[in-house]
Amino acid sequence: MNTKPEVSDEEIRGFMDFEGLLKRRTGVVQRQNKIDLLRKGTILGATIITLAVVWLIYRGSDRNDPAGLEPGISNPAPPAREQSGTSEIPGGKGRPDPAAPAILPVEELKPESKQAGADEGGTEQRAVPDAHVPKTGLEQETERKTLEYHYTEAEPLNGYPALYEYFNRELVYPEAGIKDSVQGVVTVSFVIGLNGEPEKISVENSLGDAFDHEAKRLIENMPAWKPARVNGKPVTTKLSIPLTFRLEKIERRQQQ
Amino acid sequence: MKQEIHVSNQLLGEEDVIRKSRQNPANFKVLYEKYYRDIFRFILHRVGDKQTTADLTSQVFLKALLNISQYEFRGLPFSAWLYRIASNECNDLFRKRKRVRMVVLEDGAAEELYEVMFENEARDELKQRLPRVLEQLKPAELELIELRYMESRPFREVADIMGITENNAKVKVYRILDKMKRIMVT
Repeated sequence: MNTKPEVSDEEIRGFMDFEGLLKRRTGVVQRQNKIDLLRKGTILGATIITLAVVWLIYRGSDRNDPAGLEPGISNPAPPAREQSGTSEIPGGKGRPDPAAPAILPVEELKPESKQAGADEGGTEQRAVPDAHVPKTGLEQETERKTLEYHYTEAEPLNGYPALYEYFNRELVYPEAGIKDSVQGVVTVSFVIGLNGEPEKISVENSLGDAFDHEAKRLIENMPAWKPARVNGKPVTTKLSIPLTFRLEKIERRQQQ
Repeated sequence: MKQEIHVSNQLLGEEDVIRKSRQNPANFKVLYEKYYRDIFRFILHRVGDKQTTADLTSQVFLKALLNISQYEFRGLPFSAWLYRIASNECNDLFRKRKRVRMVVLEDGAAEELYEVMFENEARDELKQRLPRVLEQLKPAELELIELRYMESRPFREVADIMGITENNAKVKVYRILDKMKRIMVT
């Protein structure tokens, strides 16, 4: 650690070799260029392959279903089909154009509390469709097999406006709930049978017995529906509706 | 004042050569010839072996030439960058081959270190014990002390070779001195 290595300038000069340095540099640069080309070529090749694959998929998926989006339906064949999730109940009070074969985008109804007083507050809202997913290539694949696939939604005989009017008119805020000022949304699901009658009414999220009871009552007695149809044949469909129980303040505020 | 001008002239000259080297590597020869000896000695003082030093020195200049386009002009002499590369090469060597690192202490090389550590008395004792004390430093700490005191470089240069800020270098150096004093006392 302590001896000082001595070296003279002359000796050092003996070690110098610039030409050799240049040569080494050239060698390294050439090698780097080769690696660089190889890497670029690989990236280019991979990109081309990826693009080709994407293009093929795109080509494959393009060739079907001109009727637009449908809710996630994977098995179109059997007649008593259970359509999971919901069908859209489009439009709200006073909104034009309910059921059409295509799915309309979901819009939240503005809460409309028409009645005065504290004991009514049923407001319908559009059922949130959980099947509103863009179709994957696979689903489109299965559908392409049935050449024509025409689907009509289930809908109330007299139309949705009438249905909402019915709800509004009939929904009674249960006595038992007033005391606790319970408010909330009860989701009722039901199946519209081949004859258009509601069956298998069940409450998905309960607010209490009184509310469930009222919600079920409402559905049981609602005006008749037209069943959904596939290529003209009636099919059963499962739907759900959220019913909102809300308490209004006694001083009624004008809704916009 | 005069000295400042001299330095900046030199820097300008260097900058020109560096740019030319980027276009044509053959122009690098100027810098090669200018700094070869300094780098050689720098490495030799750490490695001890002449042949290894020659290899490493060549390595340093090769790396410099290959990366010359990435060099940033920060108002420092080109040598600072070369020293940094050289320092890294040496550390790689020590790590890889576990070679013994050398420190030159004779011929007043460590005079400044003695001065800064102890006022007057205990100097001789320090001279005796310093090697042991230095052994206990970490490689980076040793490097800092060596650059600053044995090689008498200004803090700015020390900082750049080590790749830290000037302020950082000062703080670190003084901390190391404290550490050394504590080692001495215990």
